[in-house]
Formats: sequence, structure tokens, C-alpha cells
Amino acid sequence: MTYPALALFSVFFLAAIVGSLLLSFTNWSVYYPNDIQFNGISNFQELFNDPHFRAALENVVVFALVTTALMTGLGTALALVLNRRFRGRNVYRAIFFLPYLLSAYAVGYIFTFVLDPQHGLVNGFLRIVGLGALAKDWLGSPSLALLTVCAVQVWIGTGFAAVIVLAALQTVPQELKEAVALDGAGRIAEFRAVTVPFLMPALTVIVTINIIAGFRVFDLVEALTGGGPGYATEVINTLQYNSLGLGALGYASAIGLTQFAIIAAVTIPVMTRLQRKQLVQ
Amino acid sequence: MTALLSEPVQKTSAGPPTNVLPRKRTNSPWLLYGFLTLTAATVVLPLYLIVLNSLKSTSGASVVTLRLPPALHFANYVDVLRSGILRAMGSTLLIAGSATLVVLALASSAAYVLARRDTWAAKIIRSLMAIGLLAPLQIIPEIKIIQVLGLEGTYWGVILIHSATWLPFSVFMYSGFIRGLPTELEEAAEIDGCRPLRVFFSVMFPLLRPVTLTLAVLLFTGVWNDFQISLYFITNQNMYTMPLTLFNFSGLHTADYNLVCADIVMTLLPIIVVFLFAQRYIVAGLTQGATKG
Repeated sequence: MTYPALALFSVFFLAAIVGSLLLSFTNWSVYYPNDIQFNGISNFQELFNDPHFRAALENVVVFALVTTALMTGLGTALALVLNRRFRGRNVYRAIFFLPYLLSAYAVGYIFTFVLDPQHGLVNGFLRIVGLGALAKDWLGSPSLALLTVCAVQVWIGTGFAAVIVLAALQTVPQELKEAVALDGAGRIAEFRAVTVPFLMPALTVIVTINIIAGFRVFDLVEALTGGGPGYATEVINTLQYNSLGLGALGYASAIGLTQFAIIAAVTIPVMTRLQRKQLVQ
Repeated sequence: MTALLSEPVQKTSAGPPTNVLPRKRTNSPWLLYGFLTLTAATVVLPLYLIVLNSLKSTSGASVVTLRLPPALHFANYVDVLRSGILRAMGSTLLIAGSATLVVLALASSAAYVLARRDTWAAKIIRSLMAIGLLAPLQIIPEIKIIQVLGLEGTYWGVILIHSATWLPFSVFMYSGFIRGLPTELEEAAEIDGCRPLRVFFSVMFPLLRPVTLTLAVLLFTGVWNDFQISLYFITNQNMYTMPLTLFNFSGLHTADYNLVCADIVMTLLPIIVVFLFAQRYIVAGLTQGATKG
């Protein structure tokens, strides 16, 4: 009964990875489709010497780390607030979770309006509260654009992190908290000693999912900036999309394969480390 | 929102009587509601902005702001629907619906075997699936594969690519759930002479309902929202999905932001409706796997 699934997965996913492994070492191009030649690691050499690829790599690392850290931190804080008993809790939880399910491309589109330098909500709000000096061209300024894209991702994903942490908070045994409190531990000490260990499985999931998603980001960047201004927000996937237009298929394959290698290299150690931490505590 | 604010807040802890130390409530509930309402506003306002501007006249929407329009132009939606959006909604529904059904059928049956057996074959298949969790779809070879199979420009090509990329996640969701189920029921069915396929469909699949519902929502939403695979693999305008119409729309009516906003609303609305009805399943299903440890 596993064979239909295995067949589909092999033909439409695994075969492409094998294909990428082979094509990345060739000079295959749309202009000479019948003259495919093995050219060793020259695609990868070219890739790592390409300043645009290096910019994309740097940007995607910043994006993955900044968004994962902020979404996990803010999500945990929000979950602690939502963990109190109050009316309308489920309504708030639903509102915060909603952005995670919306089309990232559409969300990016919406935020081009929200962040518009002249008429956008953000600058409009800053001017109303008398902070007009802080109004910026959020997506048009090379030094701000990447962080602005990160901020929109945080808008999308914080509620998801909060909902996962909120569920994990329900697994903390109340008796344990009380026992520690009776022993005279402060709230912070109690949080670190009792709550955090029970949150670790949830935090592992959140960090892993968001790091992988961060390295794969495409829709949001394409909608917000298309990788610009210049290469300020170029990421691996936008670079691959643009390089496909140049017809260098071997080179574009090498980009895809490098992306996979980086995700594996970053995610596997993070996962094993976080999981070990879980076992120790 | 005001209705929420005016409701009294329960002061007493509803916890069990063993609560020796009731949680201190140093913060006023107003501070809590104030904070939450402000945070919720940052989520709701951008969406409200788009709905508002989708109802403005073309000149009124030349800048997208929160200014209220003098009249609501519902005719914008008629314009958008006439411009082929209805067809795009149909295509997106077809692709997302089919991919969801394919994945649910294949992932549940595969997960049943993978979760219950520990043969070397099962181990290898599990490792291969784990690759699928990390690896991004390798676009360039995939284009070639679709060409070779003669699926270029077909709905099936797009549906099967989506299905293959969502399969590993779904298999792991299902097998996590199956491992928590007792084996007695299946064993009883086998003793009664049921063949494995029959055991799966009459005994197992009904038990998997909670995961199936969660996955159905996540898969449908994920494929409906997809932009990247659509962008690379859908070239025929008649097959455009909703995010692609958005990609294309602005090029056609650069100044008609009211119509762009109406298109955005049409892209988001089905998902928001699904979310309102299925919220319980999404949250329950997602958190179950994440908190088990």
C-alpha cells in the first residue's frame, strides 16, 4: 500500500533531485539544448564567485534567522498573554492565527499598499502620532528593505507560533508549578525551571519549520520587492527565477541544489541539538 | 470589539480546588484587552484596507488609504468576475481539490504501513520521505520531467507536482497519529479474515478522521495559495490560479487599484471562509503533533 505514494513521490520529487545532481555539473543551456557537456564543479565555482548569489545567500540567512527569532519570541510572549483566562480568548487566537493561512503573495501585495511611502498606513500612522520624522520608504530603501520584508513575515507567522506554544502551555502540570512556587521560586525562576522544558517540543517544531520556510522564501519577496532595490532583498529563490530567464539551466539547477544543501546543513544540527536539549531536561 | 470590551472579566480562578496559590492578577484586565486589541488591529487593519479599497471608484482608489468612499462600488466585483476571475477560481479549486484528494488517499494508506512495520523497506521509505521535508522542489529538472511525461500545460501535471511536494508532510502527520492508536482493532479484523486493504478502509481510515480533516484544510489552503509552482508550471492563461491572476492583474490595470483589491479579496475570501468553519480542526491537528514531544 506504500507503492502508489512511493511511485508518485519518486517520479515527481526524488527524480528531480537526482536530475538536479546531474544537471548541476553540466553546461546545459536553452540555447544549446542538444550539446550538454559535463563541466565539473564550474557551475558551483561560478555561483560562489557571483556577488549576486552571495548577496542572496546573505539575505536569506538574515531573513531565516531574524524572522525565526522574532516569531518564536513574540509568539511565546503572545501565547503567555493568551494563556490567561478572559472572555473572547478564542476570537483573539483566531485573529492572530489567520495571517498564517493566507496567500503570502497576496499578503505581500497588500503590504505594498500598507508600506507605501506617501499614502501607506504605516507612514500615515507615524505622521498622525507626530513621529513623521520616522516615516521611511520602507521597501525602496536598500538599507531597510530586507528588515521590512522580515517584519511582514513576522506579521504572517507570529500567530502560528503563539498557537503552538499556547497548546504546549496546556501540558504544563499545574501541581508542578505550585510545588515550585511553594518552594519560594520567583515567577521567572518558575518559568525557566518548569514551563520552558514543557515548551521545548513546541519550540523545536516552530524553529525547524520557520528556518526551512525562511530559506525557501519566494512568494512574499516576489510580491513585496521582486528582490530589489538592486539586490537588497534578493533571495535564493528569486535569483533562481531570474536566472531561468537567462537560459542557463545547468547553473539554475546548481542554485536549487545548493539551496537544498544549505537547508540540510542548517536544519539537521538545529533539530538534533534542540531535541537533545529536550531529552536532558 | 466594543462588545468584547464591555463584558465583565471573570476574576475568580476556575481551576480545581487544589489550587493552593491562585494566580495573582496584578495587571488590570483593561491593560490586557488594550494590548490584545491593538495587536489584533495590526492584523485586521491591512485586510480591512483592502476590502475598503475594493469598493471604491477607480479615481477614489488611485491611492490606497483608509479614507471612506462616498459610495460603495460593488460593481467592481462584477468587473473582476467578468475579467476571467471566475475561471481562475474554478482552476484553483480544481487543482487544490484534486491535489488534496490525491495526497489524502496516498498518504494515509502509505502511513498505515510505514507506522506499523519496521522492515528495512519501511525504514528506507521513511528516510526518503524525510528528504522531502527538507528539500525544496528542484524546479529545472521538474520542468524536464513534466515535458518527458507529456504533462506540460495540463492540470494533471500541476496537480501531481503539488501532490508529490505535500506527500511527505502528510505521511508524517498520519503516521504520528497512527502510532498513538491501539493495534487491537486491526488485529481483530485480520483474525476475522479481512485483507490488509479492507482493514485499512473499513477499520483504519474512519479512525484517522481528525488528521484527515486537519490535513484536508492545510493541503487545500496550501495549494490554493501557491504562487511558485503555479508561476513555473502554468503558462496557459486559461489555467491561471488566483495568485497568478494577481501577478498578472496589476500589469493589465496599473491604476485600477480598486480592481486589484477586489482580486485580492477574491483570493483571500475562500480561505478565510474555510478557516472560520474549520478553525477547530486546524488548530487541534497542528498542535497535537507539536506538543507530543
